[in-house]
Amino acid sequence: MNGAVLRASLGAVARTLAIVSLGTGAFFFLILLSFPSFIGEGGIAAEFFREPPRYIEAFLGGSASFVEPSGWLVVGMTHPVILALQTSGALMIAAGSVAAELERGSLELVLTRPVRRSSFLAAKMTASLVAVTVVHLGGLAGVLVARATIAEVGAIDVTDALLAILGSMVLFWAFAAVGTLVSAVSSLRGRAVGAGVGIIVASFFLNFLSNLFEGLRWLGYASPFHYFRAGDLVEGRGLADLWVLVGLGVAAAFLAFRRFARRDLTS
Amino acid sequence: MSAIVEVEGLSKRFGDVEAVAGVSFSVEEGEAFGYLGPNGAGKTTTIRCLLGLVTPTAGRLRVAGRDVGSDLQRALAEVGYLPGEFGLWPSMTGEEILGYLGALHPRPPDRRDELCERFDLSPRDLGRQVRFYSRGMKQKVGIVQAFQHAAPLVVLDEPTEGLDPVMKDRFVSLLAEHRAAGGTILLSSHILSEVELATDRVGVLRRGELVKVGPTRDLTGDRVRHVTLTLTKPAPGGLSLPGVETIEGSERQFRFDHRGDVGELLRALAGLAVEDLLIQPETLTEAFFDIYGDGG
Repeated sequence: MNGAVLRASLGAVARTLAIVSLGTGAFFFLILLSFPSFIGEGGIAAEFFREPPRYIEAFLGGSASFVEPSGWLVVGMTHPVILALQTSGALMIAAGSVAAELERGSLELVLTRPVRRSSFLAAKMTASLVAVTVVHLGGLAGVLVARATIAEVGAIDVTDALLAILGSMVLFWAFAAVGTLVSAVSSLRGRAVGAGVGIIVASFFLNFLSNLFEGLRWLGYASPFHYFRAGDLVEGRGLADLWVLVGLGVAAAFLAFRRFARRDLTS
Repeated sequence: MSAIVEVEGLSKRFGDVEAVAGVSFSVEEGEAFGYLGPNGAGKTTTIRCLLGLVTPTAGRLRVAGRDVGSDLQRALAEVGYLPGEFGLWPSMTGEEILGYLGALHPRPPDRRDELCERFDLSPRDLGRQVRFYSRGMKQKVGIVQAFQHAAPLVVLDEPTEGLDPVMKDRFVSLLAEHRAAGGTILLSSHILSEVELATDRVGVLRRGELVKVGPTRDLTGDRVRHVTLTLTKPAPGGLSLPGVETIEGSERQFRFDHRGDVGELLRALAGLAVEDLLIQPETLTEAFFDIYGDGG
């Protein structure tokens, strides 16, 4: 892996990454801040979330005790704003790793120096994993601050929160690897970003459908979201499924390296 | 001297399009070789094959004695490269970019400061993000990054695009210095005056095929000379000279093209009452259009 490429890749997104990470932390804090109003004593949605309608449960990725603080954290993890922030963390470097450099015309300057393509891509992929990690650490910080400052969510178990954040991180690591693969076969950044976002949205929708309709349950296996169930993770289950996501990430990375190594680099 | 660039039977197809077809040439150490051709002739594809960005369909390529297919990294360690169309990272400063690219090359960027000074890249300029740079400024950064390591072989693709005349002049001086220090230049361009000024030998590419390789001066020297002749009195029996083509004028003033032995022409003129004589060699531009006709 090329250290200079890694540093330059992270340096180029440092400000954006810091904002997305802070935003993720802030949003988790706000979600947990809303817990007393929705679920706490006299909360307006306690009954609703005690036994949520099926489509809500499907949207939230499965069943959990949503009226508990840790269950409310699970609700937060599938909030569209959080998903959007995490998607941006996964794709901000990955989707542009090859396509943006090629489109801009900067890849030629780098790869006509004695830098192996594998070493270049490894640096880009590592930078993407770091970006995902930083965004999730921001989220974790938001949860921990909320836990320490909001009495009603003080009961959230730190280990449960860590497991849920870890699961989400592994999911988005896998998406970052998929994003790098898409970028490795693209010549336009916009197309790579669009395809990356499309894959994530389609995966979410596929999982939603499989949760909603018994007859489509099998579809869920094709969605990475199926293997990340925050509701299970906060109850200490479903950890083994994360290995499927690790496998998906490794497979995507392998294909990205293979494709990039053989590709003609013409803009 | 040995060849630092060897291209043998290079072909590259993109689908149905044959971008380069069986091109062979070599560049000796210390030589300045011009690679000429109109846009789309295959110059950039040849260079990209040579630098490992594109895999050839057929052929053998060696740089500094290293096979490009199997020993690319060691080959690239001997090269400084300025692409024809390149982009820089918009959020980075000029200084950061030169530092970044410098860190990717095994040779230290010893010439960076001197080159920045020569091309008027002040510390203030270098401290700005390149998204605020003009085309010419970006080109200067491109030139500095190509030469900063003093690599033995410098490959330049349309290097003076965007430079003003003063900077072009400094660039030509830089090429001369590089050669004086024993360096080699492979200069690809469609700007003929630049090739004429900076190279010893040229290869002319037409629709992916190398149609001519030879000394730059030969490309023009064995071709037409433009002659303007003024006589003090009309030639007795009319003007009759060897090797003359397309003559214009009458009585005392003539303009004609001459092809062949110039000594023979001068001997024939000795018998005439010559008042003034101007012989201009055909420029590379003319030779180029003569070779290409419709533009290749």
